[in-house]
Amino acid sequence: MKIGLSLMSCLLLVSGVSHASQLTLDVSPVNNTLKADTKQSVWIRVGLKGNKQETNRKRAAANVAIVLDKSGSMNGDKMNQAKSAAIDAVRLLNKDDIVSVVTYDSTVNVVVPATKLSDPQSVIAKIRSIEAKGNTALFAGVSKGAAEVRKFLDRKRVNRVILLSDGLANVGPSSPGELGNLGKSLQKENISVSTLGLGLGYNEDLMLKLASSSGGNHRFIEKASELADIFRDEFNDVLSVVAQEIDIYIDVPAGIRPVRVLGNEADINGQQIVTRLAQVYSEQERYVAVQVEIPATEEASKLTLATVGVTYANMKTHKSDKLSGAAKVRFSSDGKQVKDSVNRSALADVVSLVSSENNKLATRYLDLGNLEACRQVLRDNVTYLNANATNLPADKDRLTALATQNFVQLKDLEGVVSNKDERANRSRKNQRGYQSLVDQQQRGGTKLPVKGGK
Amino acid sequence: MKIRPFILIGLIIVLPLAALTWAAIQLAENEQLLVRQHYQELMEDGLNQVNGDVEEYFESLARDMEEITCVEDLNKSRLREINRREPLVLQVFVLNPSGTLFYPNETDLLNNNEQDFLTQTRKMFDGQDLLTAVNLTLNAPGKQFSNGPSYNGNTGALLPKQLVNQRRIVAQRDILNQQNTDGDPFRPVPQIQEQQIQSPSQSADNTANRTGRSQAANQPPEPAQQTSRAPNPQQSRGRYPKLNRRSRGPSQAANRGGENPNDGNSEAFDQQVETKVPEVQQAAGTGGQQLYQSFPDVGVNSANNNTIHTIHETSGWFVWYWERGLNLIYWQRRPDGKIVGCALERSRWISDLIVSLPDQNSDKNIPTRISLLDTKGNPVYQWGAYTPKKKEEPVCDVHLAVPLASWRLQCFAPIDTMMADTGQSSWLGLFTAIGVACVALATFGVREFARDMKEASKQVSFVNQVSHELKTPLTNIRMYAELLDRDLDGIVEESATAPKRRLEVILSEGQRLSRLIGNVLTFARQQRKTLQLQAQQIDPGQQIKKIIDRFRPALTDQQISVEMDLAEGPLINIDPDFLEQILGNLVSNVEKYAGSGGMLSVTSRIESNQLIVDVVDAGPGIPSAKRAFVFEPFSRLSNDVSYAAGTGIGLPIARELARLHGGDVQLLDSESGCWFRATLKGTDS
Repeated sequence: MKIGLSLMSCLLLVSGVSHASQLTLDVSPVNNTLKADTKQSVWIRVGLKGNKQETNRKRAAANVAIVLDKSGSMNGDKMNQAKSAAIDAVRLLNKDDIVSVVTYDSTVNVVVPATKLSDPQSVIAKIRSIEAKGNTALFAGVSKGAAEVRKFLDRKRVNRVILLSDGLANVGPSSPGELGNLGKSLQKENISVSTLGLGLGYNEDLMLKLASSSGGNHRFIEKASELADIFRDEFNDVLSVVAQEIDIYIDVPAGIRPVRVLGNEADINGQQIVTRLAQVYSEQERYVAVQVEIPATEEASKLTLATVGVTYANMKTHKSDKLSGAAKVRFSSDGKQVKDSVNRSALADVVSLVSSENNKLATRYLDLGNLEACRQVLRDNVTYLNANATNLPADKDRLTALATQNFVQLKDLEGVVSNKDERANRSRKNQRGYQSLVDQQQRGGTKLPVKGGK
Repeated sequence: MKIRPFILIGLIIVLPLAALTWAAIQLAENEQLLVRQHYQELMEDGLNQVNGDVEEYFESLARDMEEITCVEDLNKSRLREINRREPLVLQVFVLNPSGTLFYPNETDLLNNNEQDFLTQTRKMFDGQDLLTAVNLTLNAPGKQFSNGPSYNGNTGALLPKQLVNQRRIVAQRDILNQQNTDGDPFRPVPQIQEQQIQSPSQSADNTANRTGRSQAANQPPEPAQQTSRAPNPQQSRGRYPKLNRRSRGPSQAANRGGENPNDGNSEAFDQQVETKVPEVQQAAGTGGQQLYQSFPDVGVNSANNNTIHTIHETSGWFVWYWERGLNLIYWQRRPDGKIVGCALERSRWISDLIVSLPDQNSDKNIPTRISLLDTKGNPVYQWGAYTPKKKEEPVCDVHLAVPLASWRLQCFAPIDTMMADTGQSSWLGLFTAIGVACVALATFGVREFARDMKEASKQVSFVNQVSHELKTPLTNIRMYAELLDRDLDGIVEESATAPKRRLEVILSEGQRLSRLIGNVLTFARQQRKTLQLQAQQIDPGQQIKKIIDRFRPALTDQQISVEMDLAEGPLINIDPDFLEQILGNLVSNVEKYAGSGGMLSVTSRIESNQLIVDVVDAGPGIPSAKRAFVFEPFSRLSNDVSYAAGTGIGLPIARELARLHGGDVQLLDSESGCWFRATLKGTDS
């Protein structure tokens, strides 16, 4: 933290102090009052809320690479829908934005090299000329797409690769791990990759890994007709980024053990947790949940569970801003006091993240072919979410919707005996979509009322 | 009779065509070989160019890594910060001189990434592979590299000497470019030095921009200035003599010794060692910037080895296989013996490597497919418009440059199709030309032949018509001449002798004329296929004697003596007209052409119902080259005007008639003159 802040402090020196902040930090333990004299684990929610973007004109310029799978399987309706969706999306951009289009099959083709969108018609004409055939060199496609974005890499821009694929990667590195590592590396440069999986033929693990490790969105698109909407959502996301390169340093005092972090990949370096969020969108509430283990503590004493420092790139002022906060608790032996101290909003967020973990467990069972266990986990997850929805009226809609999603996945698996079944495949893709949605607090492209959504 | 010329013409076409085709195939094969070689060279050039790009990429990567691994304070949080911020870095690690891990150390609280890294690389660190490789590099610099990249099975230390040298050249070029753009080549020495100080970080800057790293090199400039003076002459020597002269201080120039004239670099190294050692010791605590100017192969040839050990800092690539294959580690040895290593993010350098390679659009020439293959032979990236078939053999195949020596570049191209084109074009061209020539020749021949035939036929048909008209008056003339002859026979007076002799001439010439007419008519009938055999019982000996007797006056005129040995045998069933015409033609030939021989021998015998007549003369004979053609219609031995007149259909008719009669007329071999044998088969009825 020391180093991170000192790095940022140089930037702050230049930028001066106090200007319109783009983010609001809220660090809340799920319970403000904890039971005294007992060893326990507590969840802390670290939430960042994106301020409302004032007008569309003031938004940060976008630097987007559209990477389209044009392998043989995309032929026909899928390709046409993808092209028209891409064209519609390009029309959302203005002349300060940078766009590039890369296609891949067995080989990679930079159809439109990164360029300012001064002549949208020529870009659109080039998108129209794309034809589907061949294999899928997904890794190289993303690499070249990222390279196009890199040409104009700029902290003032929202730098993103949008990948649309309906197939498995079969030329070049093609495991979820390798693509995930690529995503991780790209995030270090402030490039996110959003992955749109079309149909039932793509590798959802790979697409999810690539998206989540780079801070992009991942979406499962069952029908090509949904493409246009999802592309628009994706571009709207890109155009509404209010802050990016958000580094969160969570320092946990000695004696308290950090256990795990949900909601984003994080390094737990001893007593310090470091994590980076790629961006926060306008009005989005982005959070991670940290579980810590607290030793038995005397009644009436106060304790700071964690101090949080955040640095981020303000997309309005193009300066570096920093925020800080802390999670403090009191201890009491009064059960009612403990119960009443629940921070409902924080609890609801933690519940949703835990439900995502449960969902991942379900996916693991599904992969093992243990469909009964998978269904049981999903069933429990539905129960868990519904029970919490009842207790948390403010977040009832959101949690109920999450329960419904789990229920849909469960429904798909009913009577299914093999994980090779098409319905199992669809359920699995929905699960991965769900996990991305919850962990990344994705906004668009879902029929769910998501916290902080439009 | 008619088929022959066509066979001949066919041969005229086929034989040369075959010969030329063979020649053409040979030529085409040669050409194909040449073209294949040419293409292969072309493609190999292409691959080497790509390889050059890869090399360049790794050079810039090495510069980036050098910058990362020269981190000043080796504390954990600083190193973790590098892990978190550098896109190229999977994990930075620090080895103690003993080979144990200083960071990440298992006894510390490690985060997930560090734990994963240790799990994956435990074998490497436990086995001290890296340390061994580094020590090997230090103790035997240059040796391994002279044999090219060392890649041995599972792991391999790739020595950085070459790389560093190349890097140095690049750095020099940067300086030169910088100066050129400055437009002031005669800048004073201190400023040049300053630029040289900047050059590594500048090139690193460029790299950073290219790879998009947002922070530029942020090393403090002071220690750099201190250490950079020493390598000055080294950096600017050789390739850029002007710069060299300017930048070398007078004392340094004086110091230059020729200790090792075989090694072009060694003197500079020595010099550098001498000048550098104290500075390194001076700057020992100031950090890593000096490493830009340090050279690994320092001082092996140097006189004072003792000092050299103190500056055994060096850097290079190390290759280790874990997880999905080849992983790169860049290491840098510090003066204190610590090794700062950096495991590169495999996905990232592969991605960057791919980015540095062309995409589909760059393929504008011949349709090829270039594949980058990993150690296992799986394609990592490929480009080019050509889609090779399954299991197609590459046209050429080269190993990548260090440190990716176990990876390969393969080039596929439809070389057979391309060559079939080139080979065939000349092949086909030649073939067609020859074909056309032959066909033209043949057509010309056929047309000439056809015209001759046509003309001859016309002649014959005219003669035929005329002959018909002549036949009746000739018959009358001959009849009355014979009547007159009989009348004269009755007169025994002296006065009758002369008229009688004259009458004989009339009769013999009349016979000749009617034979000619008979030939023409027979030929015409033969053409119309209306020749008919009318056999009757005859005594062949008598018949032959009768025929020869008719020629006797003419033969006597030519002073040709006639010997006859005729079979007196059984009657035989043959057409006397045929026999007369055949024999007449043979004997008249003797009369016409073989008068010089003065001899005619006619023998006949009957063998198994076959009449065999031999007509032998002692004339000039027939040249062997022409023997084959004597039975062809209208072929005459000479077109010489002085040569005896003839129609050119006598022998063909004789043969045709004999064949109709189940026999033949042959020209038999003889020492001199001609020997014709006519055979006629007696019919059954």
